[in-house]
Amino acid sequence: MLTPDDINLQRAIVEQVIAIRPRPGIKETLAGLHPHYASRIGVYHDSFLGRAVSSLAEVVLAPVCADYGPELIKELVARYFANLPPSSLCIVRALDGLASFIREKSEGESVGDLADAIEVSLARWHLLHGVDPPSQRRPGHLAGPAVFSAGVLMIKIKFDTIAAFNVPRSLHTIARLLTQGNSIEQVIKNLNDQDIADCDEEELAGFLCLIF
Amino acid sequence: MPEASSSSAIRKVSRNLAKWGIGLRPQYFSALEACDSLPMLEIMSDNLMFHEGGPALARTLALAERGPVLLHGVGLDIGGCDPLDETYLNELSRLITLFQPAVVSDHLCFTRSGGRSTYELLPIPRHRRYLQHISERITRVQENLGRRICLENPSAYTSYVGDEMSEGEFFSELVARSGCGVLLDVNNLYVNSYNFNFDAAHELLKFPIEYIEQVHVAGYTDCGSYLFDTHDKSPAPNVLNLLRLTLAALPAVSLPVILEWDQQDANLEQVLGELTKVQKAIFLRREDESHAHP
Repeated sequence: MLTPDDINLQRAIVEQVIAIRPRPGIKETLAGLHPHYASRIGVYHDSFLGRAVSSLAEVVLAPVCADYGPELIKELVARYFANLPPSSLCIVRALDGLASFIREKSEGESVGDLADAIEVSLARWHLLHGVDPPSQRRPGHLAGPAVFSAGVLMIKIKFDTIAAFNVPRSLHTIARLLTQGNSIEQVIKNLNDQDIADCDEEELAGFLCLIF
Repeated sequence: MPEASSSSAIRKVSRNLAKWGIGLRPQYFSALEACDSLPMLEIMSDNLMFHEGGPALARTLALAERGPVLLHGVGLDIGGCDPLDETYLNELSRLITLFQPAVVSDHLCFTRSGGRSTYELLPIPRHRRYLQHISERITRVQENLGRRICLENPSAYTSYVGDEMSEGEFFSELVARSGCGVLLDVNNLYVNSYNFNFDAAHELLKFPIEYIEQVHVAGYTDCGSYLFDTHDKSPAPNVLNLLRLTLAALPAVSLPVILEWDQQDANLEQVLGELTKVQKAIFLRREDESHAHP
């Protein structure tokens, strides 16, 4: 049976590891850690900053970093975690509230655009890496012109190419459907009762203008 | 070096024809899909959790249909004080059903507390009360998943006052109490031996060898006062020595040996090249020693 001290020690270690802004006392040696090695808790702290701040910003939000500069984005992610310590099981999901946080806490004309860009970047990441947002799990959400256009889009430019573009959240659903064992062509045909050869180039061009 | 490095022990290596493989990373998808034959693949279970579809899951499933895979996780929090996360276990269970992995593993560590996640593999105190706590959690996980899990010895940089047993001894006790298996990471064992000043080869013999179901090998970075488990360098000679000793000590069964390689811009060719270097280091040394000790 663990003791309250055991639980408190784990909590204190976690607090030190995820501390974004070192608070007074952060350098304190935690009672319970071996004095000779206690300072090496900083190794975990640095690793957390590298993994949860720098990597998430530079990898998951790469297009936003390209537009706004990596230092600004890393700073925003750091502020976000300082205010809302991560609690998600999946590290990428830790960024889900970032856009809302920026809208609420930041000021300036471009805040809305930045928050939008972050949402789109996260949507694209989830699209390409296959994480389905809960809101996209309703089967009835699959049909319709947007899905059709998204499917055409994906046929035309393929997954590897799509990484270079901003993709709206609505594409999550088609991405999931398209990769459940059927070919892209087959899924589109089944959904729309229409062959790829019948796809309207004009409609495709309009859709591309709409989302890009 | 212990007796395990003798020629008779080395000969055992040839009976232990390990299934060599690599950790699957998304940047290898296209190259792997074009390969005629695949190395054994270790899938990061956390990367595919909460996927109901999408390219990553579809492509991983397609690769898994071509050969045996392993599931390896980082978020089980088996050593934590927070309750085991039911959502995590359900997702893991779903992945097990999908992939039918040969081995399901995570780390002997804690990762979160008070609902806050670190995404780090934090060391646990090797106290008897922790032994009880963790073995109970392993039992619950194994009952939930309906199968045995393996736990990996993580690299560590800090330790606790009053540890009551060594790492190998702790694993032996844990295996005896819970029936779990062991994923032995020879790089982590070496890193810890340097960081906490003990003899890695001697410690290896304290692990429950017969319960090792999988092996990891990787490279570290020398940070001066400590070694850091970075997975971005070739395994060091001392790590390869430990791998050789481990393979020699294992029962005569074929176990997966996975090279972990996390260099961000690495491609499949590089990683398979590194894997070949590891294999050569193990098997050419064996041949050399066979000639030396006919």
